Amino acid sequence: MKRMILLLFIATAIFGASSYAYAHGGGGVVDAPTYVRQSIAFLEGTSNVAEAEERINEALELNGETVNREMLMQARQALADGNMEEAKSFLVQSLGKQSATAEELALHPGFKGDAADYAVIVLGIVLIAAGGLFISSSKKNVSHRNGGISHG
Amino acid sequence: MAKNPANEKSNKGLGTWVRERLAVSGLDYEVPKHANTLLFSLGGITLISFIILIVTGVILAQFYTASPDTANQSIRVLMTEVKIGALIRGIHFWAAQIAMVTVILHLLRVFIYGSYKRPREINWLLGVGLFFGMMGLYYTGTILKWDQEAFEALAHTQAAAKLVGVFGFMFADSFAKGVPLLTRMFSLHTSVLPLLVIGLLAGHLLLVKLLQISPLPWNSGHNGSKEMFSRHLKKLVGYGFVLTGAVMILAVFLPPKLGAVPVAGIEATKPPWLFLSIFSIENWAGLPGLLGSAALLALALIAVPFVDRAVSNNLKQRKAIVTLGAVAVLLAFGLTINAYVAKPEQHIGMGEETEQAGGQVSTADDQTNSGQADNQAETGEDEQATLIAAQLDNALAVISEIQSALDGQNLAAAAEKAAELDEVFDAIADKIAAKDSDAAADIEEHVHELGEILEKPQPDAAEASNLLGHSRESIEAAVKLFQ
Repeated sequence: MKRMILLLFIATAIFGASSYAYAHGGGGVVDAPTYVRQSIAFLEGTSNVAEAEERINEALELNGETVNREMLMQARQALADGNMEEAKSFLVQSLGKQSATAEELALHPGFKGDAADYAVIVLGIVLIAAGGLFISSSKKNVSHRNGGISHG
Repeated sequence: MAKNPANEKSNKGLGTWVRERLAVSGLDYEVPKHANTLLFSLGGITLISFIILIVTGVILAQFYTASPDTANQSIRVLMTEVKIGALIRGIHFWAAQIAMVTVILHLLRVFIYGSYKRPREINWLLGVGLFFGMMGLYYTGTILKWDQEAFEALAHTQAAAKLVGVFGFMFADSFAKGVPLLTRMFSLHTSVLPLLVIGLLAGHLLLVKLLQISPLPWNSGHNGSKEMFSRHLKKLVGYGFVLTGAVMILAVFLPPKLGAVPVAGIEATKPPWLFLSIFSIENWAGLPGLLGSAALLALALIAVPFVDRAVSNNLKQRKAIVTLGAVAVLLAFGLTINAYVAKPEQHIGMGEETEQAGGQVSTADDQTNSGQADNQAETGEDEQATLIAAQLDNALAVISEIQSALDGQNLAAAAEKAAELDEVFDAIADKIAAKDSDAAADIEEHVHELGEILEKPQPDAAEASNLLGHSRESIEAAVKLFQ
């Protein structure tokens, strides 16, 4: 019995951990802007239109001037029309931000096709070619032996 | 004047001088011919990727701020305003992908070829440690970008850490009170894990040298042709050039995106490809499934050399274990594809908002903290206590900000923050009063008085500072009520 109690005590001590650290600053209030951001996250993450629409509706239900309701309604309409990119743009604008620079949207860098890009491509090709030459031209230095080392 | 033979020898050129002093001839030892094949160079290619990761990582760290408020933004600045910033990030990203692919292939090659057999069991264990070290680096790297995917991944880890109790100490607030987890992840990614990997790597390479290259599984006991190890190194340098060129081109054509700043309260992403297989298991079995499968993988890898104890590494004599390994790999593939096509599930209750007093709802962090991990044994009372403790921590953070504003004689900012403090307290006042009405009254008195003083046209900074100290003390006392 004592052993059982001791085991129980140890298990409680081990698994009954104390409070856990925050990923960031702590709690917050779910307000209209947060619902809008959640809506954007659903569209960005998994193109989940149903969840995104639900969040827009939640934001619209909250009375307040923290978001632009007209933009929200346009976003909802854009989603209904199947235009996700436009919806995201309206959602960002409902927060009073420009969609081109908003941190609420993912940043998608692409191939710019400028001189720097081409320079890097050329350098990359040169490195690959040099590596290929290095691999194929490394001198063979072969000796033939039977019954070599075995560590099977 | 007579010539000194020693001087004559040393005048053969810089190359000879350097080779002599670096004892390069020490690398001219024989290895089996198969050691110079691509399959036996996978570990070396992983090492080259790791070196690229260190170089680019050091550069990236110069522009990164490891704080939740600014981390994502700092990467945006790097990508849009720093010359070649996006390129360096792209190279880092692609080198990481290649490192993970090659380390997995290397592990599989060693497993299929039976290269873990006597006397290489410990080297296999070092290799398994390296594999998990690299996985840790990959995971912490995905956290640092601090987008929705990172946020949710960290929340999952917090919830998992809670499940394992004291073993998840790294994620407990008491480990480094007040330090955001993101900052700890940065420390893990840039110092702890790289040092661990480098240490294990040193032992791994030393044992490869001392125990020599393992024989082929269809040619045990007869290694045949030999080549020099220096040729292996030259080839690796060649692979290094090819790899660097390839990641540069990939970084230009397929630069990695950066997700939006995270928002709490939802689970809307999937993990990177490396973790998709355990994500599938988590979809079905929740966090215990995730933890269990990860532990099972670790145990299975550790057990390999002790289960397969036959002397020969010949494939014909190891059909059972190799088949088992192949099934495990196929299963991982299947689970990965399943997760790729499946929708993200709610694993840790992030999507289920919990209404709190005064319109407060728990954020993802709060819910993770409270351990809502697939109906784990947490009572509603415990969850509420954790949430209130979180709000009290929040209040303490606001108090620090008021103090900074007062120190900087920015009384307007201090007044604004005092109003915020008032709001934070009002939302949880009832809950504190339910535990200890005196404590609640104490806080209310100090916080409201502080607000009144700072709202005056010419507030008395000294008096405000004094009240702030009292507020801090009373809130700290209240925190203890919810621990």
